[in-house]
Amino acid sequence: MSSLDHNEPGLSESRTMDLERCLREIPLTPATRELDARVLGEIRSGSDCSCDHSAGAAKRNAFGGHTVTVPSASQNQSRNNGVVSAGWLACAASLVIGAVVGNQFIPTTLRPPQASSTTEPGLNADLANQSIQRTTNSVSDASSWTLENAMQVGSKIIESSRFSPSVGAVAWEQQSGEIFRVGTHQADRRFAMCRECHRVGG
Amino acid sequence: MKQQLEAIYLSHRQALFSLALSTTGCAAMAEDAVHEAFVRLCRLSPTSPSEQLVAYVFAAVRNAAIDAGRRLQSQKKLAETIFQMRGSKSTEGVSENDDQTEMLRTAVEALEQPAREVVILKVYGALTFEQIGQVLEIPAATAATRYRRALTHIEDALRNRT
Repeated sequence: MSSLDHNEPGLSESRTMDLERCLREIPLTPATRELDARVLGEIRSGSDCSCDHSAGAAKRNAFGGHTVTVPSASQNQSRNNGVVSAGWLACAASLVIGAVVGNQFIPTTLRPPQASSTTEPGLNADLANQSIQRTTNSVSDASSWTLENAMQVGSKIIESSRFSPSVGAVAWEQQSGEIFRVGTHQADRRFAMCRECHRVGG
Repeated sequence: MKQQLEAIYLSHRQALFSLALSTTGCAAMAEDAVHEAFVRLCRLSPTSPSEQLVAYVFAAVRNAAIDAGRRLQSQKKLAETIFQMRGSKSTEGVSENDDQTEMLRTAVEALEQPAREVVILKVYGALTFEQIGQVLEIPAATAATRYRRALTHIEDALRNRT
């Protein structure tokens, strides 16, 4: 025992030695022979890089006796880069798919008539005129189509990103001949529409 | 240098392993920690006097065990003891019926980790308080105080049980 033991009052020296002796008699969990082989092999090997690259006992135990290849830092880096790239690709692909699918989900009644650039030979004069008119005034056609069909499609106008609620309100006034009074309608700002009559512009 | 390391390992292997085991709580991880520490020591080839080298080796094993414990801490809770369990082959007929031994074992395991480390280093490693201070990076007087308090705790535990 060191002389430092006598700095503070505590157990007597005889009792301390007795406790130490008792503690030494308790059998300890022994290290295995494998540890001796590993450590002594490491010490006795003269090579510069003699580290054991195989999995240690803990890893073998943790993975049911199978050795595990531990990725290096560079492998981790390249794997992370791959994950980031794959994430961006997935994001871009989902955007494209979303745009395509979303475009397909717009009801056909909400789609403005397509302006045909060619006149079919079998069309009669009225249809030909209509076709020519659609071709030349496609923008105004779309607007007039909106005004005619806005009342039929109801709230779908609001759900469509193509038309604003104000257009729907104007369409309703033209169709019904009434003035859309805001005060008589209970607005639901969540959908920019009237909760009572399920119409636009409340 | 390597001869010194080999001599230190052969004379302190059980204490080194027990120190690592008390830190990691897993025998396999403790073995890995001891091995890893000696791998590092062989690479670095520390040039120290032999007395300081013993403390240096213990400190290296302790640090490796702490690192290993941190790495696997999140995976599972490990609680292997430094003492052999009762009923194992080597303990049969030795201390199976010795209640005092069992109480001592329980008392040591109930110690806080810093106190238990000092007990292991002192009792099983036979290190001086100067060396223990170097291993734990504390003054020798602090190491001595911790050891004394640890023994007092053990004594109190024995008295309470009896």
